[in-house]
Amino acid sequence: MKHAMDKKFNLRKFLIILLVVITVGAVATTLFVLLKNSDDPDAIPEFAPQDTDNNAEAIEDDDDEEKLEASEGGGAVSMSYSKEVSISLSEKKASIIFWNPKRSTMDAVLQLIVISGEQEAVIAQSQLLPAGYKLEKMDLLDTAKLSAGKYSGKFNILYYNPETGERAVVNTNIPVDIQVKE
Amino acid sequence: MKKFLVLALVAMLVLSFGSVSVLAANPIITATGSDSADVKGTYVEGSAASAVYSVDLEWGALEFTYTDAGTGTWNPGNHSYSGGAAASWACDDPGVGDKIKVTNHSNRAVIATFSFAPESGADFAAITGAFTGTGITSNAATLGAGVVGQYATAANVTATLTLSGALGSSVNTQTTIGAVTVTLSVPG
Repeated sequence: MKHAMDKKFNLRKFLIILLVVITVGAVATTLFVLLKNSDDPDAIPEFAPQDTDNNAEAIEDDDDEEKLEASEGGGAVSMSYSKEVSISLSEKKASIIFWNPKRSTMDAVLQLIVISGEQEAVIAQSQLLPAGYKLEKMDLLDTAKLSAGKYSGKFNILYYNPETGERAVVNTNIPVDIQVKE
Repeated sequence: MKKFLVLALVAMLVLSFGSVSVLAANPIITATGSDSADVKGTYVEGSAASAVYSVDLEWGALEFTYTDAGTGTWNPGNHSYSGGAAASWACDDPGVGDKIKVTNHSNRAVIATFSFAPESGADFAAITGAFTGTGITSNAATLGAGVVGQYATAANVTATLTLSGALGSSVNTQTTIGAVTVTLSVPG
């Protein structure tokens, strides 16, 4: 009788320890993923960011409900942009023009990159820019180290399927001129 | 009173004729005379149309299958293989799934440059991509600026992606093997 009770007690103890280990493991994994992402803010996301960018605005008078034709498994985007970028260091913002109209079948994520010789540095990266939205401001990353002057740079535009969130195998680079002011 | 009014009107008429003849540079004093006046103008530069870039980009599924070289069938009569095939890449949906189209709706010309970069890793390192199509030279094409009123016939280019180089044998399910970048620059 006593032996049976001990066995039951040991099993319960084992199950509690197992649950504690699983819980600690899950918490550790979650923390690792969160910290890893916050350490690497310019990493290209494999899947579409959950949040629409804070600076994204709906394009006014964008009444074109007809999407561009995209073959199965492919995509189509219509983009309007300016090659001039102005950065205010005091505001920690970049003034840009990039439109992703409703005609696009893809959502977008924008990276602003400064180029110096062979070196490239991401200085701003948007959250999601859904079709029908424009971006005229980008928040500079904390890691962006710039001083006043003129720079060469580029937009790197990544596209995401709005239904599956998967990143497309096609991306776009647009060379831009960057003017940095205090 | 009437006389006074008539005199006043006559005086006004005379004075007005006098002022016209004073203003004319070359008063007409004969029945067949003529006069001329300069027409003056000033040039003010109009506001130049600022550059507006607008580009459409369409692409197919870009799914390919790599078939490794086959040695064929052994012929014991002459100790040779027949029906062998070299390694090859084929698009899963040729003519559609291997296309990338760029259309320029800007009021400036745009150069579209296509490039392929394999995924990192030994299985993909040997893969290269080339882009061909009408108007494409060295993987790039220049698209003229949009013409007023001709939206439907905007300059465009369609590139066909062909792959070469071996794919690692461990990749036996549909896997991302690389990415295509379309760079949109301006001439000059």
